[in-house]
Amino acid sequence: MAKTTGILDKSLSRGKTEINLSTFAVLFSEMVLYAQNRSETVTDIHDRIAQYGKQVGYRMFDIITLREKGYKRETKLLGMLMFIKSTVWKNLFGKEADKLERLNDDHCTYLLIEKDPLVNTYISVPKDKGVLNCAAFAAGIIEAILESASFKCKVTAHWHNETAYVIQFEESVIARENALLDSNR
Amino acid sequence: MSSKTKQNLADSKKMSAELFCLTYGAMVTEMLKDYEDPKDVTIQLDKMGFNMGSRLADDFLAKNANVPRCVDTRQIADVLCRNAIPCYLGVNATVTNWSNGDRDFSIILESNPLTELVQVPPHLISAGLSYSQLIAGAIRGALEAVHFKVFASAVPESSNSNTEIRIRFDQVLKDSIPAGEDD
Repeated sequence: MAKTTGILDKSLSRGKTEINLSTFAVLFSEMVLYAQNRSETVTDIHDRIAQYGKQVGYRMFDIITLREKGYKRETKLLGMLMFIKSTVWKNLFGKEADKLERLNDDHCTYLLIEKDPLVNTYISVPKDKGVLNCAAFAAGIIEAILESASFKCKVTAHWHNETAYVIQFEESVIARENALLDSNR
Repeated sequence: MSSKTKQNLADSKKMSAELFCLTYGAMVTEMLKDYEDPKDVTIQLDKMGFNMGSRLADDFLAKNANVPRCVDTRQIADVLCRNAIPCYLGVNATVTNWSNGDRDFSIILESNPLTELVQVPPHLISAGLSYSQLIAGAIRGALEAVHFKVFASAVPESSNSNTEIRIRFDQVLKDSIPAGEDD
């Protein structure tokens, strides 16, 4: 057999190619259906969808930092969150996320808010699974990206009129961040 | 060409192909963990494709009222390659390898949005994983929605060639023409 060219021998595409939204919508719905068939509880479905999201996140983080930042990685917590809110979201969904907030009473928790996430556009949640939010997929992406950038955290998707990704950082991450800020002062 | 521009206007919602590709990759990766045999994954992908295809067929017919009813396989192939595939996969496709009295043909995709960032490990291919079976399943599902029964499979790909979908026309499903309708 002739030596085939591997994917690493090709140069990375510029990532400007696009695909019909309908195609993604039906693929995503099949994926949710599959997750649903393989799980027993709503939490299971959530976890599975988030797991799919993480797979995407790890890979997307590499590709976006390389392309947009020349492989320079954000080290500041806020910078990283802004990077996700704007650059990552633009690359993935073609628009920025709507708001970024920090919980007043909890210095470890941040909220990334999006009015109507693309992944939820075509999913109708059955009544008996009311708490299911397929934005868990996007939550998985965020978690994987923050994790690869060594900001350990847990991200969950919640629903209050708009979708909120609740990013709960580990105490150590916040401590490191504060130490970093102090030393720069 | 005028029909094509009209089509683009009617259906301008687009999204990142990379997210699509990686999402699909993530799903296949997880499925490979769930099933022991890669062959089962191929079967599952074919089913998923089928479901997607029958929904996309509805979408396609709703947005393309000007596409005529197909009467032979050449026309089917033509609509697939000229309208459906460019619309939903965003790539160009060509038809070749007609055989068996026009019942069998191949569709060659110029590039494959599913494999854009993907290299399928050779041992999985030899174990029976057909990564692009989703597309074949989708074609089968879409055609069955318009009452053409076909068999479709993705020809095992080597990384330097284009993706080939082999299609065999089986039959026109019985209830294809509702009673009292002839045109």
